Amino acid sequence: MNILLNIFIIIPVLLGILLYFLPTKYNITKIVLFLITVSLNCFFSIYFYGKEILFNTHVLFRLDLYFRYYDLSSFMILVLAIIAFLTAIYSVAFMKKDKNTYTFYAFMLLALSFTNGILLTDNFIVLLIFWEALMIPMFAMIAVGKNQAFLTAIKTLIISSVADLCLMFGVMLICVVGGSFVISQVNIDISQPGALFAFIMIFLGATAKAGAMPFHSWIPDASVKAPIPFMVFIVTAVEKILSIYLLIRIVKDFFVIDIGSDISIYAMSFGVVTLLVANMLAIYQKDFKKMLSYASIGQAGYMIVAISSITVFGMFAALFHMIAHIVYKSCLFFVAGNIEQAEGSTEISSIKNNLRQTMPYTFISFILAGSAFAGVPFFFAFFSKEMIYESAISVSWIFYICLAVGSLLSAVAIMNWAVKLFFSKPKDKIIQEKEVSTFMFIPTIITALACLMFGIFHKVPYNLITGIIGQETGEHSSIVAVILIVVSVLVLVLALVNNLYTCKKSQSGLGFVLVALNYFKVDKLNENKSFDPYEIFIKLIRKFSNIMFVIDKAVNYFYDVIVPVSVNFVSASVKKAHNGNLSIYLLWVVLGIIFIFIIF
Amino acid sequence: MSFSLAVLIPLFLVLFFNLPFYKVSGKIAIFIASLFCIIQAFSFFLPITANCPISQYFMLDFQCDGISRLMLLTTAIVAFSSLLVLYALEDTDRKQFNFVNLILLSLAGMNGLFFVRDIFSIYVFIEVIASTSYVLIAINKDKNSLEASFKYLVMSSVATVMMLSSIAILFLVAGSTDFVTISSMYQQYSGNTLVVVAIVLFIVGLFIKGGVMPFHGWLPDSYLAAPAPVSIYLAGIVTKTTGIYTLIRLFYSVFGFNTSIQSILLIFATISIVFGAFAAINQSNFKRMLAYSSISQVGYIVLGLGAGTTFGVAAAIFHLFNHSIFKSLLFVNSAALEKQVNVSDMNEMGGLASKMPITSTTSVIAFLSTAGIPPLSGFWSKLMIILALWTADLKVFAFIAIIASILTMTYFLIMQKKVFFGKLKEGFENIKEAPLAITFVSILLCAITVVVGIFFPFILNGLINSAVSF
Repeated sequence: MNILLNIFIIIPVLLGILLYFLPTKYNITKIVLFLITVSLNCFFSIYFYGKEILFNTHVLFRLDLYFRYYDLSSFMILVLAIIAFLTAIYSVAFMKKDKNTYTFYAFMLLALSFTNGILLTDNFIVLLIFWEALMIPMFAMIAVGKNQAFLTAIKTLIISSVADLCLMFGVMLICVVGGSFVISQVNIDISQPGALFAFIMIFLGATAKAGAMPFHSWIPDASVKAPIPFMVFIVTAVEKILSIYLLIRIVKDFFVIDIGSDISIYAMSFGVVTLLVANMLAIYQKDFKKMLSYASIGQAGYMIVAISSITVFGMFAALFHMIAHIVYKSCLFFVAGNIEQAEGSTEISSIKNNLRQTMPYTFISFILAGSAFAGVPFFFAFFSKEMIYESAISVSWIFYICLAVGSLLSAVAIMNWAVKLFFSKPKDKIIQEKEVSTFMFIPTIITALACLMFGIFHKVPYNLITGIIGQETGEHSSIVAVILIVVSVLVLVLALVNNLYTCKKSQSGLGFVLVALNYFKVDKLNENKSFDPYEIFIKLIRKFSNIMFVIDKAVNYFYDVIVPVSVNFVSASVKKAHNGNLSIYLLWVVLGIIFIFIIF
Repeated sequence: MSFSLAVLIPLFLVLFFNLPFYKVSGKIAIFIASLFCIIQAFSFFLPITANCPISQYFMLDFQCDGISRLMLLTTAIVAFSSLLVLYALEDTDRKQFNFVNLILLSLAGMNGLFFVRDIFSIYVFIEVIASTSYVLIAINKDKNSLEASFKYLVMSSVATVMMLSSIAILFLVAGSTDFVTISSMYQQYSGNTLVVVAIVLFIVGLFIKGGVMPFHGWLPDSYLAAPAPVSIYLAGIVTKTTGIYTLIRLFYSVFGFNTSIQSILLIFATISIVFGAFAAINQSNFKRMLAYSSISQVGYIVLGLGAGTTFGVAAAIFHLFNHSIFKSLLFVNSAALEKQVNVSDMNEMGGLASKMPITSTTSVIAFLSTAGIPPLSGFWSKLMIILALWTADLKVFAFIAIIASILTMTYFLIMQKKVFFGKLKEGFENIKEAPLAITFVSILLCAITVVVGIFFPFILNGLINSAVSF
């Protein structure tokens, strides 16, 4: 059945290419085509949802490449399609004035198609091809951004390439150890030789996609340079979906790993480090978008922790948190986009108006999404966070404490921004009555309402995920659950009190958290770029190139000075020997004869 | 066509030109001689099998094989080029006439050399060629040319003495001078001191004739002092025939190879290649530089021969052919420069590419071919030489051959930059392209270089493999 292939992969690619090459005078057509494609994608993902379809490309390419549309991938495709739809609507209004808009649309369709391809394919090679191909739209979508976005795009490309290299290596190993290129046939024990290494490599590749710690540094840069729809669609949706998809596949299908085994503990520690460091750095950011991107990295940490606990419950929690995160983070990015549209920038210093008054709907959206982000009860992310806490505490209470600290940090950060954006006094007395246009307003408010609605009716996503992962079967102690909820609420109250107390005293609403972080010298990490692995790498490259330069100079000296001088010397002496004297020539003959006799 | 005619016709033509009853003008003589060259070149494509009764009358054992035919072709091409350049450069009727006679005599000797199958006849024909060469070099009768001719005479006499002694010894031992007898004798007495001395003397004699270092003393001076057509003829074919072709013939048909002979060939070839190239780098005179380049390239031919396999011999013969073509081309270009610019120091030239485009382009192609740049003919022959060395397990020499190509490139680039590229020197504004005869020759030789390079696979089967089957 090739209709799925057509709908989800081929049509978006073809339309993306068409949009790219259509002349500028068809701009309206481009927008219409773009919206239609995205809507169709959305419609069919709902239409086909839950069906299990296996199809191959034999008819098309004379090649048996299987694609598998089943519960997990259909769910991921659905989420992606909805976000793509919302982003598309948003970007039509947001990027209206940008001359690169249409390039952006084209590449967004390509990205959509490639992501669908990754989610659908049942062949490792095809997966890798799509995975690598995704870099093209990513690069292009960043590069169309603000000035010097090109450099950021290159940075992204380099970092992603390193991560993808890991993935590639891992996939290669898994194919060798598992003995098959077909994804659904691979199931190997982690104790097999080479399997552990394969696991680590794929794990690195997958987590890097979500922006886990050593591979994170392009996201904050991109958040400033790239357009908001990129941040929503790629960073928030595509990257998280792919990462979680692959992580669930490796712990659930590819490898057989015991719960509580060493590898699980290490993987969880990896997630914990990511979330702690990212949330700490988020505190320091002066730009709303940058803060969001760091928070995004932190939330990836939560999901990694949950999945790495290997329990079904953990996966359940991760998947739940993934949707929650996509919804509220999209909303927050939309809010950031609205503010940028109104104020020109999302940096603290450039916000002049009292946004609570000028942009009331944006304010409401921010409150709803921010509450979800902080983990306020009865909001979307509250439920998933509790589940993640529970899966963490089932392994070790140390992880739980780290997660709680992370939650405190993110709560403090978002409350601080709430004050700065919406409750501070206007710096200038200019009050401009402008809410954003409808196209931007609709996606913002939809995602904001979703934060609330899915929080209250959390059984809806719960049932959806139950259909995918299966009924979570762990034994839950209700006492533990209650304690966890109480602690979460206490954390929130602590953050709120801290915020309210310090806001009265000073401009900064960070309070004791900032003091504590400064005590541990975390600010140093933020200020100098020493924490950015990319910068370190570039520094190393510079040093290496300096050394190479010296070597090159030496080589040049050899060729430019030593060789010509010696050649000239030999040449001149040979020339001198030919002085035209016949007797000398005859002497050479005699010497030559003697030499020949010696040889004989 | 009986191939003895290749010897008899030139002889007859010389007689005919010099009959006392009437006078043949220089131009007609050039025309007839050129016609003969063209016929000789085309005879390469005709089957030649029958022997001529006249040669039997002279008790000469004439035989024609693939190598002989290839050499006939090469000789014809070079002689033709030389004659055309002569036509373009020399205006005195007397000089033209003398030239043609000498060149015809030399041709007769050379063609005879390709056919004979006994070593004494080889000596005789070499002497015929050498005698004409003495006169040709000295034909201008100025101090330099006389001195050069004298040098050649002296060195050549040394070579003659050596060869004659060698032949005497071989005759003494074998009782005959024909190839077959000597070959069978050599297999019997190869360790004999007297035979070894004879062979060494013969090799040295041929080295002197061919201008292999360090027996080359006469060569640069002669090339330099001789008038342009003579330089072309000398550099293009005479030294190659008297020295190198005979060397190849001796070892391919008579003596065969052994380790000591191979090591002699390889060592002297390497010396020639390396020091010839080094000497060429610092020369400021165009023709002198070409002379040293010639020494270096002769080294390559001998190196190919030194591989000691039939493939090596084929490579050597092929490089000999290519070398004759592109070295003639370079000497033709030097003649063009000599005529149009009238300056022989390369440092005083510059930027002539704009004024003499054909000369410049063809010389670029010639030197690229010499340096062994694909797809020109020189690349293939050098490749064959290197392959022959490699397969004969003489990898060190193969490496030297490759590295020395860089030196070749060096001196030719220096030449090209000094003479043709860069800014046009003052006083050269009115220079025109060389006369049609010269540019025609340049283009012809250049075309051969390119075509042989591009159609190498056909050349390999049709030309080389039929000459020396490997």
